[in-house]
Amino acid sequence: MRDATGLVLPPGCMLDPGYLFAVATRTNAAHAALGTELLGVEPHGATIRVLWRPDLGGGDPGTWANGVVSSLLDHACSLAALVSLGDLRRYGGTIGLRIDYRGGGGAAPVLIARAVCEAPAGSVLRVNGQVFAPGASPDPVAVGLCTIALNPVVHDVGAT
Amino acid sequence: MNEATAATAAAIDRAIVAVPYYGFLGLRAAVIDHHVMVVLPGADRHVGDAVRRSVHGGVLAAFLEAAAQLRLHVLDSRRSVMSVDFTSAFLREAATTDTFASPQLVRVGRRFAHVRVDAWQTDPAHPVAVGNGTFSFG
Repeated sequence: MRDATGLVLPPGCMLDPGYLFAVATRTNAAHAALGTELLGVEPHGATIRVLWRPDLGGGDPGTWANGVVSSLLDHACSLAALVSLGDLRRYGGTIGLRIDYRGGGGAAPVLIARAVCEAPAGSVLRVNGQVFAPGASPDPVAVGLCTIALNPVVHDVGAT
Repeated sequence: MNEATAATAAAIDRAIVAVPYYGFLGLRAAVIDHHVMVVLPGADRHVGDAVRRSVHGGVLAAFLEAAAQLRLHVLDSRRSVMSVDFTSAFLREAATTDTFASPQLVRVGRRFAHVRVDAWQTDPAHPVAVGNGTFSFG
């Protein structure tokens, strides 16, 4: 996906597609630096990818550094939360990230992260993410659980 | 700098150079009073929130895990270290300034190790993030 054209947000999501695309790929400087691409969104979910470059590598030739996996998971989960909440005012930021490495991957030309939200629970939203290296292994490189803080629901004053 | 400290510092430098992504992050390390200190330099490319100018959580998580891996590498550079799991808690917004991490070995066994990492910017007593990870030795 090269721009927000064709990015259709789920029903009920009040975000501007151009804004979401920009957050996914440009205004988040850390992911602009990684070259993160937004592949698509779904109800309560988002999928992104990064293409391998030498400066993102781990210790062995062609492999990925774990840090890229962490960063992808965190970002995919945040984007999924934004899509699921559909309202920027409710998004309070990431407060926790757990990653379990599953051994898939190794040398691979691309990493894909997909994240899907659970139902909000009180003041937090939990998001489950997976990172895959297509072509290298059918097993996930890692799975993760991200915890997002929720801001209180804002009621518009003056509505009649 | 005594001989042991110099050897430890050299081992960390070699470990940082061996992983290209550590160079991408701009990681530096030092040995202070026998403790390993890893530094994530403040840089625009680490920003996650363009409005608040705060460091991206994914970068902080990567930094915490890298610091833990580097600590284990210093312990025994002959053995490869693989992450089993890693948990990060983001406690405060991290400004775009240098962030410091001090990995602590909680338990080191024959096959597995557990490492705790605190990351702070201005005061070690007020960390911006903390991490805990389990690692296996190859």
